[in-house]
Amino acid sequence: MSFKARILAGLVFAFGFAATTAYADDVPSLKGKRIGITVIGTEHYWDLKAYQGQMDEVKRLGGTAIALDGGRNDSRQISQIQTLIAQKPDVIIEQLGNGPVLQPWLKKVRDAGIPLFTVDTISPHSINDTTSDNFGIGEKLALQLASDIHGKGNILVFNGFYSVPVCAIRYDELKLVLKAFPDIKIITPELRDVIPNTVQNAYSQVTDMLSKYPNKGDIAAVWSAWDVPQVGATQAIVAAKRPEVRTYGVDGSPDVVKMVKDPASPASAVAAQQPYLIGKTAVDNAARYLAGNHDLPPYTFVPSVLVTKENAAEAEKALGQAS
Amino acid sequence: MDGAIDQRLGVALATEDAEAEVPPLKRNRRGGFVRFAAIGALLIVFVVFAIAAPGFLTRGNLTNVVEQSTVLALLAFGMSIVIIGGGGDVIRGGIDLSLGANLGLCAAVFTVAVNAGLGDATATVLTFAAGASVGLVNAFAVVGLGILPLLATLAVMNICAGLELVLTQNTVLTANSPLLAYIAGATPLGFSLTDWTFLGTALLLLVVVHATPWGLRLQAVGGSVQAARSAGLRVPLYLALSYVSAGLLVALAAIVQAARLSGSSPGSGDILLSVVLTSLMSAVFSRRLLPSIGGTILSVLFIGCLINGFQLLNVSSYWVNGVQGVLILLVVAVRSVSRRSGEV
Amino acid sequence: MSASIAAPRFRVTQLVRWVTPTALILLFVIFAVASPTFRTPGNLLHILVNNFTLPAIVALGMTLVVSAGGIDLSVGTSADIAAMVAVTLMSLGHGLALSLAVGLGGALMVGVVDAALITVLGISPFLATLGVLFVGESVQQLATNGGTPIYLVSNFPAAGLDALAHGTALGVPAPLWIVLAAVIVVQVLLGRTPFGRHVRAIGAAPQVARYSGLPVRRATWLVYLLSALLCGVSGLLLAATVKSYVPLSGNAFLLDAIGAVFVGTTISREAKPNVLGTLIGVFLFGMLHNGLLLIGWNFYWQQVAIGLLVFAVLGASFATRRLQAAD
Repeated sequence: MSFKARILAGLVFAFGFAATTAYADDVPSLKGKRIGITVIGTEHYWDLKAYQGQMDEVKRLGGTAIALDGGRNDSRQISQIQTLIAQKPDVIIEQLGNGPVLQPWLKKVRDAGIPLFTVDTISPHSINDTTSDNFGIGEKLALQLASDIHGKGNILVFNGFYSVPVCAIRYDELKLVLKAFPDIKIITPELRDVIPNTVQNAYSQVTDMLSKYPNKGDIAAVWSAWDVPQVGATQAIVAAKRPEVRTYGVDGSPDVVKMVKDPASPASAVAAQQPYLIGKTAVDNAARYLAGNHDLPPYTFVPSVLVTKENAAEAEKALGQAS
Repeated sequence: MDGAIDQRLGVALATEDAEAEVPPLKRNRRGGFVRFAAIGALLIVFVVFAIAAPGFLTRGNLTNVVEQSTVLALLAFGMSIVIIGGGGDVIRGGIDLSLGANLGLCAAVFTVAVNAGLGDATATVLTFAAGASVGLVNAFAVVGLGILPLLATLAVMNICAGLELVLTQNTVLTANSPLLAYIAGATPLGFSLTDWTFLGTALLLLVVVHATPWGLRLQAVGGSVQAARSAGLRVPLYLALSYVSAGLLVALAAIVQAARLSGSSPGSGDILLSVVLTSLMSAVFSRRLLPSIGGTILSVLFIGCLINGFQLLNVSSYWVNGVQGVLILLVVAVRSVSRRSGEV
Repeated sequence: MSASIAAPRFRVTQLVRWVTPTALILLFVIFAVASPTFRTPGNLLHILVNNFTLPAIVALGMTLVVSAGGIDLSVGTSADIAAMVAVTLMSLGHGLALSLAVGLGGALMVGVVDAALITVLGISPFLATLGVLFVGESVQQLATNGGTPIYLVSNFPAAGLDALAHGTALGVPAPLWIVLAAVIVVQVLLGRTPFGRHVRAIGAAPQVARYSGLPVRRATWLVYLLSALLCGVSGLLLAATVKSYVPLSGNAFLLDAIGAVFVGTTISREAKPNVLGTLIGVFLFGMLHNGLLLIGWNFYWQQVAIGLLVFAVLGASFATRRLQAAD
């Protein structure tokens, strides 16, 4: 069918493209340069890989990284950026975080004459934002969900992090797609994913909802804007012996991709990003800029891939996760 | 009051008396040594950073440290006032666990009010009203109902955090207002308004808590409820005022934070443990080894310098919490070991 | 004290002690009426297994600590370290028994640090365990490269681990047996041994206990070690439930555990921490989480409601106690 074919084509294109970016080694050296890296947090697979991608690339190119982890706290990240500006690095790369909170501080970075690059943060002050296409991710995941459940049924949605712009985009895309499927209903109230203890908390809440809707067919699927709640939800569904309920998430941590690969697992799809490549690409862009290339596009989109039961084995290999 | 509490209070008083029997000179010298050790630690950290950390001693960096510490400082002042008034006992003494959640709530109130077009003046009044109301609820629970402060403020913390969610729908709310722009941008006499807020509040509280009759009576209430009562002090009034003052300080902190974060953002409650730590640590900087405003100022700056210095030295942020914890334990250990050697 | 005064006071005392259980029953009835799902046996069992077990074991440790006049803010650290060590070992292919044992050893190390700071250096329990909490965060971040979760979801090593969380014995889920064991241990230690008497004496009057020659130090050591051990059990059970270790998860239990212990003191005549009260407190919190979700309240209001209800219960029981004192 054309839908599946399109996804497969996308996959092939995605990894072909990824391969060329990953191995193109025309990146100028960063010798003697100090690169400020400020990230909102590193406790999630995506955050950590994107962060490591930056750190490793800075080291590979001979630069020095000043790396700062905000511990998922806006105030702390802002204090770190404020001090970072005073340290006057050659370039600052900012990764994820709450858009509106960051903007005035990102402006201060530019006002101080420091070139600013961002990872997954849309900002008018950023020279280049390296990111996944979250609109596409949200749309593809929602379409896959709608297609899997044949356009009909009730779904549970975790919506605890609407304050994070990329999560909001994915959620909004879900809503947009669901407009075309009037027979799919989001069960209210929506659930709240939390940090810390995300997995057990999601497990417990989904178990609650499965006992509230005890019949086969009452709940068709569980959606979350990242994949840690998906881990808890999937296990709750297995424990409650309700394998007809499917789960969907974003990011593609290796264990979640493995769950999707398992034909018996309720985990039906995860939109896998390439965070390590995203981080690496951001540093490469910064290095090119410092070497005098001031014609960078404002956005570099690193392809993502929707991992489903059909393509999980291939995707695992292509994502470099196969053991 | 039931038997157990009476008994405990009796013991507490007995302990107080035992301490009071120590000759004043010796006691002062002991406190002096600890204070010296603590301030010495602060100085050593300061000197090490000044030498090793590039840019630490620049004026811009030091004002940054003050600016970054202001919200923590205002909350820690509130906590210290509550502990000074309620006494230092872990379980039955004064403590306010709702400070962090109240901060989030107040910032949300300010932001929502500004976005509703109410104007800065009204929004500010509403914010202080919200902060004070939370303080009043705490006061009512502790003084009126007699709930343990630890417990009462824990329940209030949940209420505040929930109300913040209700107000903000768990999203980041952006607020633009002349007041916020002014706080974020103005630099009278070369220092940011946030720096001035820290300085002004610190000076004001130093005077109010340590040099006015009100402050001295508050300390008396915290030292011994029974003694204060028999001296004719209106104990409930002072206890209640300590929680309300804390609430007002939270409201001030909320406006400073709203200016820094351009509005309100979830996650303010995370600051709670740092506030508790800062305020309890303030005891080692004071002559009587009790929390004090001066001690709080020093411990806030100590923690602020640590975090800033580590960043300048490019120490991985994974180490910061741990090293901070160890250093603080060290400072506190010096205090308690020296106190014990004084006892023998 | 004459009998004529003692009689009415006895009745008021009874009243105070019934405030929390009454609230629990009242809320139970309200939820049962409002949500048909709530009252199904399956859901009630689910509350016990998923919303009660983990915080209950932590809170039992906290009951011991608070009985001895201390407090343990490092409960989450002990739970996390146990889970981290055990899950890491299992993911490296070591056996179940070894992994769990070493995990508990890790938790005990946290208890050793707590106890040493408190007894040897004389730091107040609040500050000592708070410091350990901060250090524990760093240790976990450094050990997991910033906080990467370790999942055992795929290539699951030991069927025994699954049985720990999801198995049943005599028709009762395994986690409940573990709670029962913990309850018996803590109840017996606290109520029937010299150690328990010492703990309570220290809690009531530490100076008096010291001057009367009680083994204050030894008891304090034991209290913090036991608390860490129980938290370790809870951490292992958490890891078994979700087949993973997610760094810094344990702190989620801290405030509920403290809340439960002190809510539990309201059912004791002397306002002392006690095992039954703690269990009632933990169940109250778990039931609120579950019930509010099932009756379909938005999560914003769930948190407000929990705060208000706990406030009301505490207010009622402390106010009654105060009235009684004024008699």
